[in-house]
Amino acid sequence: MTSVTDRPVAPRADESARRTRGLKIATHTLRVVLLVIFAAPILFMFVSSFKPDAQIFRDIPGWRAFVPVGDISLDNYRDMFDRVPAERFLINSVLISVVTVTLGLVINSLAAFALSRIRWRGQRMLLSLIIATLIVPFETFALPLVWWVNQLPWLDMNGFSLSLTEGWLDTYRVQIVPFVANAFSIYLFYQFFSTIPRTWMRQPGLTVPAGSRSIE
Amino acid sequence: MVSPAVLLLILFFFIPVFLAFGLAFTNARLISPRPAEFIGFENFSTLFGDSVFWASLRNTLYFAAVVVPLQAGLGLVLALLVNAKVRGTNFFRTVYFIPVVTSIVVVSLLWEFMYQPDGLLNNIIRAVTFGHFEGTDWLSNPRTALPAIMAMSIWQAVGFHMIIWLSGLQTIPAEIYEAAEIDGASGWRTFRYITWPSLLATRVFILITITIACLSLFTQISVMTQGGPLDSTTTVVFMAVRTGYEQQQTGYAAAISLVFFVLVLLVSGVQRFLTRERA
Repeated sequence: MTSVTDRPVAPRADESARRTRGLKIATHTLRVVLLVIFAAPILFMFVSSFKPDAQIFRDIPGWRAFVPVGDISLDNYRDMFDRVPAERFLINSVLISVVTVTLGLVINSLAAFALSRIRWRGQRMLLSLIIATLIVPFETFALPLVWWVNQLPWLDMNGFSLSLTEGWLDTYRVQIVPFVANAFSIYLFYQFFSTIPRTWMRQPGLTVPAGSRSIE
Repeated sequence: MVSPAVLLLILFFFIPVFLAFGLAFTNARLISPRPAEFIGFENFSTLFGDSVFWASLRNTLYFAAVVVPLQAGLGLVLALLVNAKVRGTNFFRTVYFIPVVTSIVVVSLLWEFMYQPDGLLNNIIRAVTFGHFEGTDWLSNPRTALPAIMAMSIWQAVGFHMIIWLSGLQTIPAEIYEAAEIDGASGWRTFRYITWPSLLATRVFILITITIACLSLFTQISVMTQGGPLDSTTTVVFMAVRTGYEQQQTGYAAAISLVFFVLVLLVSGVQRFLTRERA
């Protein structure tokens, strides 16, 4: 910087360009290092899933841990279906997610619509109550919930005869029904509905639901 | 229209929350022929005399104190790195985000395997330090078990907070940065006087969500260490689930849940107060 008076522009521009380039190289190196840290364990898991147990341990000290070489096969995957009813597990997961999400979309969007677009008594209060529940972690009431669902009745249909049974534990419904209504989902729908211009709603043929004063 | 959701929320949110308060003062059991009896503060006096509870509380607070700043900070670094206009940004974002979409149970099993004495991690440490440093049996050593779980938890969840930071960064108008460039502001000053103040709302959101997630630490413990070795990794929620589900002492578990609830409320209340918008 001593030569600034001699050559006012060039050295500064030079130095700043060098610094920018240095910074760019440094940040890109950091990006790549982080890439390796995030990808390596996942890659290791993926590659190991094709290897027999003994080979996984033999391969660990070295690059081979991350490359599908040696005794590669789909045996582990075949074993999974032989040892446990994995297809049943997959069906359970899909069934529970699909039903929960479908019911949730219907019920939460309905609630959000009422909260955002229809004017009724207690609307503001209910909205703030629902938003306030977001701060309560599920873990705080999970155990009382277990105790509670174990007391709940259910109407069982056995052919043509109906019977009232008690307890929801170890059923599909216990994994679905408590998780359908979701405060966060209601809030997201609410926010989206609130961005739709109100004039769009005042169209001929749009009727006001019974009991509500107006659609805003 | 609002009633189906409200009914379900009452049944599966409000009633269980109130039950947590009510059951905490009873000796209710998960499956029991006898009705629950009111026993006053007995659960709480048992709890406060239980050394496992104090260990759990200490571990939970220690975990939050380390993970909250590291995960939030690293998330911001990642967001800044992938916010730059360079080629392949989307690729980097995707890879940093992969652990988030991987189930925490799967991630826990994977890292448990990597943390073994002759596992991947110790071999990498040996290779990188040319044999000068030997790793340990990370999860069986009371000194390293919780830090090992901290590292894994940050690795798993930081991508999520990168996305939140990123959405905050992208709401900052480009004109402000252009103006700063014309004024000759350096990179650090641009960050200090433009980026950081613009991220106030994002910061508060990230702080509170990470804190609640950290205080609720359970899955990693349940999969990897079961609270051991020597109660060095037990947490409040893990203890509540163990007593409530495995030992079926619903009343006692409700008392633990209630203490946890108060803890979360206190911590997030203090955070809200500290991060409130000053006029």
